[in-house]
Amino acid sequence: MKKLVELKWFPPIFFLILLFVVWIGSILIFKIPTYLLPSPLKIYNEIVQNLYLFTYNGFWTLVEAVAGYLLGGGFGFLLGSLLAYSKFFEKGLLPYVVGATTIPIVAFAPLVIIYVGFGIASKIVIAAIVSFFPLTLYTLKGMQSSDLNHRDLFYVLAASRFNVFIKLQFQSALPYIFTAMKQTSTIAVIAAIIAEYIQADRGFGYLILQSSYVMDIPRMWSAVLFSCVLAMSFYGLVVFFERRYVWWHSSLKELKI
Amino acid sequence: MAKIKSIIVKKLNKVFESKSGSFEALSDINIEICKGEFISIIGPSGCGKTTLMRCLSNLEDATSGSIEINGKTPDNARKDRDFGMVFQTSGLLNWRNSIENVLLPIELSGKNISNYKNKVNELLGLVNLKGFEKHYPQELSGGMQQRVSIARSLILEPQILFMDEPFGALDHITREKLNIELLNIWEKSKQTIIFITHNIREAIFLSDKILVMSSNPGKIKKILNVDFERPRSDEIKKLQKFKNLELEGETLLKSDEDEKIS
Repeated sequence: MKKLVELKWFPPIFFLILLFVVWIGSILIFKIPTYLLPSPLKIYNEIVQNLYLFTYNGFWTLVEAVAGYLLGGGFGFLLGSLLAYSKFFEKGLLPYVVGATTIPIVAFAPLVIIYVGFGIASKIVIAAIVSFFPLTLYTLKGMQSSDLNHRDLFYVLAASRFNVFIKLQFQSALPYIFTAMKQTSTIAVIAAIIAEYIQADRGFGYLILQSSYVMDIPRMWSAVLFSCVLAMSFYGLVVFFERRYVWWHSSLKELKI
Repeated sequence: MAKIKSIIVKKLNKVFESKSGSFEALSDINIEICKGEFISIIGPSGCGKTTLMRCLSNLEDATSGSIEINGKTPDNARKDRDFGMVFQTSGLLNWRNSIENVLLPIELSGKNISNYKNKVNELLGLVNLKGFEKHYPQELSGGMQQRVSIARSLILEPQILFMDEPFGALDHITREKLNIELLNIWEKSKQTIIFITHNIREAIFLSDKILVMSSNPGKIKKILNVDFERPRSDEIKKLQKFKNLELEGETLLKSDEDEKIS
């Protein structure tokens, strides 16, 4: 038994099975009808039987989320770098960046759709907005967190401002940037779905909304779970790149107590 | 023959201002260091050794007095890359392997790194790190990391080398090994070295002169001349003269402690 617990894949699988047991168990014990809460098996069948429907809508949600993620994240990184590079810009713009993070995306999204239009562009913009601010703030914070000893070293070596920026500040910011990229990878997917709720002719938001009109609860559940898998895969991909580029950072080492 | 002066410090004072008041870290420091000399600075914790070195290396500005490095202000000497520095902690960049860390000063000075490939290997050999060229700092012991940082400080062949307790965190045996390595390097390069330490034996073994400092405010209490022949070996530690110097140094440091207590 002890060996099983130590296996890498065992803990998450254990809890997944536990979830299914509780799920199916409560359906059986409380006699919940399938149209209210489908069993995992029913959801599996739903997805397999309508695979095209889920992959088609999932594809569009993913396209919107990833495009928005890259666009918003890219610009967020650039703004964060600018704020780190220049005190003038930091003092002038940071209050507004912080203020802008408080805008509720649900309230703001209808405006974006009016301005940008009914196509996927407006969904991309909405996903970009939620990715933009975390990247800005984490990039700034990361660039300001370079080690004091390293700064002394670069100063004694008479490094140019540009070299300090590229060879010290950018490298020091990478762990922070990845933290923001992990966070926004999942919220970009959520933002795309929210945008589709408001107006869309494809995507998970559209699918869930359509299914809710006809009370097709198994299909709604299937869409919810499918989008979770989608967001988690996206997250996993970012973690893969994080391990590759910031393996040297202490946050990736296990804590010994 | 008049020797060329590397460093001239006159009436140097350094006061730190903070919310809790002002603190006089250095008071009336006067030093002259000749080219090619090995100078140690020794003194109790908080006596201003590091502050003095940070003033020399332009990391701090003096409150009053003057510092000349190769006849220039510390700022200009730094920009001309006249000096290198080894810090208390190795300060290696975690995302670079040994070779890349040693090459950092070359990159920052705008020189072409491909001209220095042989030099890097030579330096890593000099500090006994053959076989660890591609290792990252996390994969090296503390002593090895500090040796990489010494190689890094030597790559630009600076005329002056500041070393702020470079071996402070190392065990006794590693420390003695590195002392011998450092002397070998110095005998070849003939740089001017300013070396901070807590350890009087280390100071005597390495230096031509030892500046003994006292604290509150930081002052130079006495300059000890060490005139053992070079090259030196561990054998000199057994000489009576070495033991006398050690005793003298310890007495000077102790009397400072006593003054503080009384």
